[in-house]
Amino acid sequence: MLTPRVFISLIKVMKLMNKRFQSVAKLLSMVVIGVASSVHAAEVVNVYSARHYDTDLEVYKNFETSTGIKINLIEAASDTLIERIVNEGKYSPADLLITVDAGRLYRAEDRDIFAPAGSELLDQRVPAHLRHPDGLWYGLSKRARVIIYRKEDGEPEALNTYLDLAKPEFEGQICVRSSSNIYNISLLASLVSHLGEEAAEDWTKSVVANFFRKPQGNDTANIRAVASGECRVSIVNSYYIARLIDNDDADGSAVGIIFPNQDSTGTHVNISGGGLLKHAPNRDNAIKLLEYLTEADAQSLYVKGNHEYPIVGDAEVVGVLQNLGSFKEDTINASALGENQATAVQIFDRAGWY
Amino acid sequence: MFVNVRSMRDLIIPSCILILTACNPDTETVVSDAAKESVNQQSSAAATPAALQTGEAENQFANDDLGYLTQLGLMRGHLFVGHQLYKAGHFDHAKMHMKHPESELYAGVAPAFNARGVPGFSVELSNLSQAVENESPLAEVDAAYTALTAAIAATEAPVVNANQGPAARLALVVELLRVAGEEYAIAVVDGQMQNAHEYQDALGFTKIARNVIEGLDGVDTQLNDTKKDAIGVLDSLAELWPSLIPPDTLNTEAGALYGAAAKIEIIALAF
Repeated sequence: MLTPRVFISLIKVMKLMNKRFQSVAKLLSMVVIGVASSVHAAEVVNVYSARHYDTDLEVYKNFETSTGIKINLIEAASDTLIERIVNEGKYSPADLLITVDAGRLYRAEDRDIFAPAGSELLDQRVPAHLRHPDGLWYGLSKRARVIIYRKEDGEPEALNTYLDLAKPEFEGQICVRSSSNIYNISLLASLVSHLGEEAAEDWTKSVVANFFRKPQGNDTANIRAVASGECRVSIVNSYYIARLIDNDDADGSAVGIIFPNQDSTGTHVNISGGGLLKHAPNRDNAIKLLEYLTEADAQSLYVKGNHEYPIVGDAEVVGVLQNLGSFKEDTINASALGENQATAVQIFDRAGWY
Repeated sequence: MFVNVRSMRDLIIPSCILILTACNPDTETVVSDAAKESVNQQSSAAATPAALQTGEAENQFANDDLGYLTQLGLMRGHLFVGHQLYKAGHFDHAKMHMKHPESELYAGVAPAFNARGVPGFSVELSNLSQAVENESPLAEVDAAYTALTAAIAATEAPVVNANQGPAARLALVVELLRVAGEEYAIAVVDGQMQNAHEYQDALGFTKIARNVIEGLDGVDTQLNDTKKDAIGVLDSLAELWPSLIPPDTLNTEAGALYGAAAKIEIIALAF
């Protein structure tokens, strides 16, 4: 047994492996931040996370300081981590999976890797629509998927809802990222919930007809496209705008924000979240970490450090995020975003939103 | 027989390079140098394979130390288990394994030998393969095996001696165990033996992984403890291979290997 040592090391491992030497090498970036060397000593928790933010490192460090429980952190893409956990099975040292987007939490849930946390504290703190009904996962922070426009051109008239994007007057004006991105999939999944599949498909086809160009880039690229005047409007996540503004990037300030559906269902929000894993060797520590992530200090860091909305209702929204404005959010249960994921993907394919 | 190993890398959906400063379209990564510095009181000296050189796939291991050593490790694994099988009199099994490095792996890594200024070992590889194919006396096969492993060591030496600290060596162990897991997953399905050669491959790769751990220079307490922990993880895998020639049924699963890889990855955080 190794003597516990209080240090944190950051390992970035990029692996190229193709035993057949035929295809383009698949690259797996594994960022491993760890403190204790034992995977299952009482004083550790092993976290597999698909988030890669400065903020998280600070939150984890604070958790370690306040509890004495050391975090071993492995970072990779969500689907990679899910496959790892599935493959490791009962032999996995992973205690928690933390990932971005309810759709990915659903994918993880669908692979039957979570166990109910059984935490009354989490059930009290996290709003019901932002956690799994059986405690398999909990939202830890939120983001809004908003419509943006170029301020210089003025706010588009009669563009107040996601449905408005389908109007003929916006023909050739919409830039957006690919439908393969989970943020778009989850947005459409929410529309499927609200409108039904047929109406959601009609909407999607009409939006496709309004594309300025084929879907491309990520949210930041589309913010820049709108800011430059290349396209009139786009759909992006709120924190990307806030991040640009916070970095004094002119493109962030050049775009105006519309929080859609304020007079109806509210703006679509999605979550970063996490869940206790079925074979967690450090179950109690894992639950303590999840609970810690919903405490005021951690929530505050998500807001200030990463411009994400807090999951806990009474946590304060300050700074750049506050300046974006307040809004009514869609209270559809985040589970629905995953349940309708497959339908959303099929609609995108049929509508030609690639 | 060409071994088709399904790599976990095939499961990665985003196709772009994932690095801390990101190009992942789904998860924009923001880790500043300051953050890394503030939380990293000790940076790992783990192997950091270089990115694939576009247009130079045939020499992809020229700069990728981890990939290079992994390929050599896999060859060692094939050869180890082939040698064990030959010693036990299982000639047909042995012949199968002795062919793999030459037919499947050598060509891919050979260009890197030139780039790295090391001699290859095609002659030694061919000598061993031929000795086994001819069912030569064991002493002859042993000698050929010894010569080959020495030649492989010569191709590894410049990398190992130059920059292979504990973290890098353990990263190699992790890689070998993951491939072993992939092989074992093909070999044993729902408790049924489906492919004896993959079963044996997994054994070979795990043995080489163990050799790497045992080769760690344990001059200090921390490293000795690390070795002990890592060996302990591998000891837990013993039941996966009750025999060289597998039984028809096994109450084992590849998850044990994947889990072992993950545990050693975490153990390696100490460096």
